[in-house]
Amino acid sequence: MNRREVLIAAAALGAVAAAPGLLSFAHAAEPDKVAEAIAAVTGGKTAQQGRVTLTAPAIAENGAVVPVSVEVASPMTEGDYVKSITILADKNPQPRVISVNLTPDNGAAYLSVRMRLGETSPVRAYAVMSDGSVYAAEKSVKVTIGGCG
Amino acid sequence: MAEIGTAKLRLPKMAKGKSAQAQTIIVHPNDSGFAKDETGAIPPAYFIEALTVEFEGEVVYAMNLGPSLSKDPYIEFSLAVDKPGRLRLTWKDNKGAVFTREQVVEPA
Repeated sequence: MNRREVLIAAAALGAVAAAPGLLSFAHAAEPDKVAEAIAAVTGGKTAQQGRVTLTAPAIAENGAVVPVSVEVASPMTEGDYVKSITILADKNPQPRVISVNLTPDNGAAYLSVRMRLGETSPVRAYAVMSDGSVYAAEKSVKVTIGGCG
Repeated sequence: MAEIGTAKLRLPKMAKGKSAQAQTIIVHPNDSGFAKDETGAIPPAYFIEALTVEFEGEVVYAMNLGPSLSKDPYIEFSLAVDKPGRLRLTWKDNKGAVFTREQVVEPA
């Protein structure tokens, strides 16, 4: 074995060792559930960075009530508005927290909710624009006491 | 204890055509079906799955809610109206119960 092979073998071992750890989160969402939820929002499009401001605490002491706000920069006119805002929490058994369809009449693209987080998790916000483009923002929220009891 | 099916709706002072943020708290256990209650039991999923906001009969928001929202779901959303009218919230839980709440909006 040369050095390169050793490194590859070590990486493979690491992946195997990590797998049981992942499985122990019995009620956490599987990664493909998250990918599925994202695809349902984006329709397979790659989300661009920017325009979406996601506000969430870096540390949530109580996972049962985590305030999250999403603001999307948009003129909100008939020709250019935000069609939908979706909030996802990767590690929740049901990653989709809420999705909202908007109209140009809303005046501003803003949404704020209080959600549960079962454990420390990335929280994502997606905005689909009237021209079909998709913007996203992500923030990791550390949970001290989980909202899953 | 407030009853399931009621909601608090707080509307800010509105100016015609200007957006402002409305807040609602819907009274509901919103059990996710995954979380333990005080006794350690896991109550089955019982949550609000849809909320529509209409202004004068026109849908201005259609929302799909998941079980991850906290107990007594709190939702704050932007609203802009250019005339006085009735704002109606309609929500439905996963057991099929439908509730509504109406309030008059009077932009200055």
